[in-house]
Parts: sequence; structure tokens; C-alpha cells
Amino acid sequence: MLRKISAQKNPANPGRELSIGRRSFVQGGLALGAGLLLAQGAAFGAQAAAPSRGGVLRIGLGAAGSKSSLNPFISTGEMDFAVAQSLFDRLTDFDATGKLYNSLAEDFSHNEDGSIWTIRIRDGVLWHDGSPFTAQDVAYSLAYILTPENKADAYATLSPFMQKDDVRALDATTVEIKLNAPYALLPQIMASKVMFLVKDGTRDFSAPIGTGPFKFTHWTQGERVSLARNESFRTPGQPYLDGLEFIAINDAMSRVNALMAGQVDVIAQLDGSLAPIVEANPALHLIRSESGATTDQFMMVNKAPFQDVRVRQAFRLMVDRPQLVSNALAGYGRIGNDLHSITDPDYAAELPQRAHDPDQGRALLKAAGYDSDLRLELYTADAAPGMLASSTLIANQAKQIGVTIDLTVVPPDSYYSGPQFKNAPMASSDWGQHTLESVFGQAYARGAYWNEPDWTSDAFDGWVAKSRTTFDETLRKQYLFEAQKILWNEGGYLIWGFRDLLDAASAKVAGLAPSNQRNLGYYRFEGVSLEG
Amino acid sequence: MISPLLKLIFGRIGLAAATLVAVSAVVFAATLFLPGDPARAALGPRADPAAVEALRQEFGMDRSAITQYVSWAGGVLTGDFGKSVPSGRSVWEMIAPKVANTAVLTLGALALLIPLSFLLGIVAAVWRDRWPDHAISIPCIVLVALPEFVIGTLLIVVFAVWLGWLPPVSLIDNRLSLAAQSTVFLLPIVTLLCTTLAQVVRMVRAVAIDILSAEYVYMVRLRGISPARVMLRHVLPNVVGPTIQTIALNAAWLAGGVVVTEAVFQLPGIGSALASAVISRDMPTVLAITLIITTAYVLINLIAEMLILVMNPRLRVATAPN
Repeated sequence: MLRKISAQKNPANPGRELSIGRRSFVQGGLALGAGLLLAQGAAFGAQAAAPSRGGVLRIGLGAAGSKSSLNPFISTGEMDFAVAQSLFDRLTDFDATGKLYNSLAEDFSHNEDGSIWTIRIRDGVLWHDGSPFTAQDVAYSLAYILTPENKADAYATLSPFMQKDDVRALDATTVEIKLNAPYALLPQIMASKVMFLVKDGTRDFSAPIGTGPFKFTHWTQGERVSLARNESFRTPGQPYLDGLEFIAINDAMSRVNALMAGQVDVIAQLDGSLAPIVEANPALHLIRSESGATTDQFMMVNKAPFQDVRVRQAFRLMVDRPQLVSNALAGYGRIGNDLHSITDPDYAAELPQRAHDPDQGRALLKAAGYDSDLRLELYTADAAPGMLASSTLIANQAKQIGVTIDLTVVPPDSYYSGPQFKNAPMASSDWGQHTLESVFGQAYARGAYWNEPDWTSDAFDGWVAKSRTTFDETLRKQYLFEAQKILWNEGGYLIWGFRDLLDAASAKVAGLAPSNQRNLGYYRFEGVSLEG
Repeated sequence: MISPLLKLIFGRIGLAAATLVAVSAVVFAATLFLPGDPARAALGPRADPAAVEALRQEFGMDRSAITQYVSWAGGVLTGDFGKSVPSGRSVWEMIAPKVANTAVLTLGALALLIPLSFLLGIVAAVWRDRWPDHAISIPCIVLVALPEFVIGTLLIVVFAVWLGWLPPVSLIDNRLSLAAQSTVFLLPIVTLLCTTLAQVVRMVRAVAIDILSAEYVYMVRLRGISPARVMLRHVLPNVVGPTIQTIALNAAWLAGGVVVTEAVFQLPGIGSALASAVISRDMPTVLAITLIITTAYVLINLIAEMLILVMNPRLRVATAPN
């Protein structure tokens, strides 16, 4: 017997029917409140009339220099990822609010326990060279990712669930995947960041061919990439622009200068300290997207003093979260509740927000046997927005409950590989946009390399395992809630805030809506036009 | 028998070659002591340790330091700078366009520096302690005190932000000719010019004042020869000699000192390539660029020395063995 799961299609993609699947319960502003409104509502720029056609959008963003590559499976820098977003598509994707929809997949079905999946793909999609997109291309792409020698970033995401020989095309539009074990979240992991689809047989990415809204024309490594409109893009009439020009400007201040001088039309990754300049300029727009990215601290759960859960709770109570957001993130962020993935529809928003309560923190420390004589090391660096500033602030706030925190600051580029990382009792970290599933797989899985606090909990593991094999969305949400409740009570991460993504655009750029996934509307420009 | 001059020249070339070998060895050793690891830098902070180890082996970073140096130096001698660690592409292929951009910058600055410094220096000397001298000397003293990132930023504020005449960021498009996008080079060239001009002008002024007050110039003037002719035939040639060393010093500084200016204007030259290579611990690229800068430095000094020898017979004879 086959069960069907139809993920919702992209509501931002006109001309296609909206089939409401079982995920419909996440509709209706699930406690993301203002965040949802902000992301959905404000595609800024007047778009009363039909969007103008033509023009080349010049995008200024940071590049990885000599590391830059056109291989979409190896994400090295912001520019490489942004280019791949325009050239390629995935089977499924996340919309601006973090909701899953089918992109090149038509629907997913599976056997009784969810160990064999059948994916029907969208018919009539063309590659940039005019050839049709087929199931064989999907099978090839997944096998490419699953071949370790190809060093695809997504290898670590896919390899626990399947081997490359277990993916095959049944016919032109059907792919079958035999999983290692039953797994309910296959449609979701297909939307992972670098799970792109490439043409069957592609080994050389020097002139990449994709199915995305723009096609490749020119590349100067680490400096410039030019793309032209894909005339046979699947959404009729789109893209409106003739082309895109990605221009590397690594320095944050120079990006703003280039935008103000009209050398570029939009810039990605605006520094919070520069946002007031953009907001004060009537010729520019600030694009602010609430996201699930964090700069956080973690406490080693099996090292003194944090092996005592009361000390972890005391630390979580002694931090002043609004102050951290307003100082370390220049106010461009929202407070956290010691849980990752606020943008995931299954985020446990029902758990009470942990407040600033130094008195209770002091009491907990006392109960744990520390009577204003606790002194410990916090290992940190300026390796992410607000990382060093938040560490300094936390050290200050700790004094209120009689704790002395000594900062060990190292250069940012040797921070994560430094010998003290995971050896100091407390350290800083940063995580980008992740789903619960992906952050649980990396930061909370027993023995995982990036499980920074060395977190282990049988109860937590049990709830996560159950969530992975249940196809009932309501039940899964419950299981994930139980898992997150354990983290909220006992976890090793101190997640005081989520960083907003900031970008800026010239006032003539229309149709660029913020996305909580990544900067500049997740770098999708098919609905963008240049007006006036 | 080899003439003493030739022998001297060969000696200098030998010394230059020895300098290059020594510098390359020191830089190579220094890169080994840099904290961080190229493989980890290439694969990102959250890379799988096994993948890091595999990349280290692929690039032979697990071999001894001496073996690595010898194999690298052997490659350079055959014109092969090796492969860049993060991208796996040929280092030379990657840096060649950047070398060209930096060359435009330095040669452009040098081409303006030489005539301008002679003109200003001599004008200042002729009207010594009068208003033309003050109008030239005072700005020069101010410029000497300002670092290039301050000058560059001031130029951006005035010419790009206020006046809007020139682009604030030097974005280069490889598909266009350099001439078609000459405006992006203007502000960086002027920045470099400002940082080097003052020193050379002061030197030219001092030497010219010295020569203008010499007895032979007084005698020439007495013979009624026109001031222009006095200047061109009798003063200028004698100013050039002592000034060569100063110009060479500034030219050599330009070859490596463009790093800061390139960063201010985000111009993709060897300076920014070097900075990016250091950050990603891309040792083959770091070594190649350091070697190019050192070579330029050594060559410029070599040429200056030769010119001084050729122009000054006394020095030539004095340094030659009997």
C-alpha cells in the first residue's frame, strides 16, 4: 500500500495550483507572529503596475576569493551560493517563511514503514541547454552527492539515510529511493541548502547547466559572475530581468559605498552598524529578514561546573537577553529561548520565554555548591556577528551572580580548529539557518563532531528517533516538542538571540521579498524587476 | 678578460638571485609556523576531520618541511608555481590577471610620479622660500604624514561621495579592456602618487637648491645663457643622479605597498590576493605572490644601482677593483 504526502507548493509562485497537504496546520501564523508577517507581507517597492521587463541587476556581495567555485555542491562563500541559487533547483524548497514546498518534485509517496520512497518529478521542465529534466538527472545528482570522492557538502546530510546504489530512475519522471531505515523526513532533507539537481553525467562545472531562472554566461573567479535570463523558465513571463551580475565586494563599508554611488543595485550582508546609513537614505531600502541564525554560547555538559544542570540553568537565567540583542546585534535580532531553529514550523514556541532572573540564578548556583566563588574560562573570538561582543557582555552580566568569567580570545580564523575549542568549559559558537531535523543531526546527535556541548540524553534521542519515523504531522510536532522541552530544561546551549539578515537595495529594485532562509530573498531573483 | 663593470654587474645579479632564494626560504618557513591549517581553512570551520586529512595528503602537507620546500622550489624553477590549495587551480593562472591590475596601478603611479616630482621639486627650488615653494612644500609635508588609507578614504569621500565623479569601489570587469575602465584606476593611482610624491619632491628640491647655488651654474649664468637652457642642460642632469635612489626606493615600495591601497578600493590586485591567500592559508599562492613582490623589489634596486654606476664615472671607477 502506498501512502501519499503532498508538500504544499510555493504560494509565491503564481500560475500553479495550491494543493494543501498535511502540512497545512502550520499555516496561520504559528506563533512566529511578527516574523511571519514581516517576511510574507513586505515585498517592498511599489508593484502596482505589471513589473517592467529588462535590465541587469547588479548584486554586490562577499566572495570567497581563490576558494570560489561554480560547483554547486561545494558551498564556499556567499557569492558561490547565491549564483547556485539562480542556476539550479532542488526537489523541494523552503519558502520565505520556512515552509516546505515542492520545487521540481511533483509528489512523494512511500511504502508502509517509509523505507522505500517514490518521487514523481515535475514534467516539462527544461535544462538551460534545452534538454528535458528527467528522473535520471535526479538519480545522478543524488548519486553524485553520495560519492565521497566528490566532497559534496550534502554528503554528510544524505549518507546516514541512503547509499548511492539505492537511488534509481524507474522511468522518465519517477525516482525510487531505498533508505537504510524508515525515515519520514525525506522531502524535508531534499530542501537542504546544497541539495541541488544537476544534469545527468555532469562532472565539469566550468559552464554549469541548471534548470533555474537564469543561465550561466561568464565567470571571473572570486570577482564576477554574469547570468542571463532563462527564456524557457517554467514560470511563464519570469524572470523579468535580462540578467544578473554578481560582483565581489568583500569589505562591508565598500559594499555600502558602491550601492550609494550606483555601482551596484543591491548588496547582501549589510553590517548592523551600517544599517542606519541605509535607513536615512531615501534612495535606498533596508531589507531586514528575521532568521534562525544564531550567535550563541555553549556549556560543556560533562565538564565542571556545568555537569550540574543547575549551573547551566543559572547561566541561562543570569544573561540579559534584550541587552545582548540590542548591544551585540545592534538591535537587529530577536531574543532566543535556548533552542535552535526558531524558523522551523515545529519550533517549540509554546515553551515559556526564559526571563532575566539573576536572583534565581544565584540561588541555583548556591544549591549547586557555588557560593560566589565560581570562576571559569569562556573561549571566544570575533568569528561571527556579535560573538565577541556577546561574550564580553555575558562576562559582565555574570558578575551580578558572583561568577567571574575569564575570556580567552583567539583570532577568528583559527577559532573553531583551536585546541581549546571544546576543552574550555564554555565557548562561543554560531549556527546558520537550520531546520530542527538538521540541527538535531549536527549539534545534538550523540557523538557528532559538531555536538559542541557533548550533549547526550536517552530521553531526547528517543523523542527525536520517534519523530523521524512518524508520518503523522501532529504526532511529530508533539514528539519534537518533548525533545525541545528537554533541551530547554537541561541543554548545553545558551541561545540568547537570533540574528536578523540585513541587506540593502536601491529604491528602483522591486519585488525582492525578505526570506528567513538567507539574505536577499534566499537569492531568488525571478520575481525581481528594475523600475524607473 | 671580463671588464670590471661587467664583473660588477654579474656580481650584483648573483647577489639578487641569492636574496630571492633566501627570502623564499624564510617565507616558506614562516608559512609553516602560521597558526591554522590550509586544509581546514579550505574546507571550512565545520569540516569533517577525515576530509581535512585527505586534503592534507593530496597537497603533500604531511611531508617534511624540507621535502615540501625542495619540491616547491623545483617547480618554481620550471615556471610552475603549483596549485592553489582551496581551488586546486594553477596558482599562476589565478594570479596573472591580478598581477596585471597591480602593474597598471604601480606603473601608472610611477609614470606620474617621475615627471611631476621633478617639475614640482625644481619649481620649489627656483622660487625657494617664496610663495610657489610654500604652495608645493607645505602640502607635501602634510601628505608625508598621512598614511595611504587615510588619503584613499579622503579621496573617496571627496571625489566619489560628494562630487560623484569617480567610483568609490574599483570593480574591474575582465571582459572589458583596461582602457575602457580606466576610471576605476584613477583614485587608487592618485592615492599611491600622494603617498610617494612628497618624499621625491623634497629630494629633488634639496638637490636642485644645492646645484643652483654651485659655482659652475653661476659661471654659466654669467655667460648669458638663457635660464631654460641652464636648467635643462646644466641643472637637470645633475639632479637626476642623486634622485635615482629615492625614486627606486619609492618604486620598490609601490611594488609591495599597494596592499593597503588595493584594500581601500577593493581592487583585485596581488595585494588583496595575498591577503585572501593568507586568510585561507593558501601557501602556494602566498609564496608565489611574495616571490613576485621580492623579485620586483630586487630588480628595481638592481636597475637603480646600474643606472647610478653608469651615470657616475667616478663611482664606477672607485668601486671597480684595480
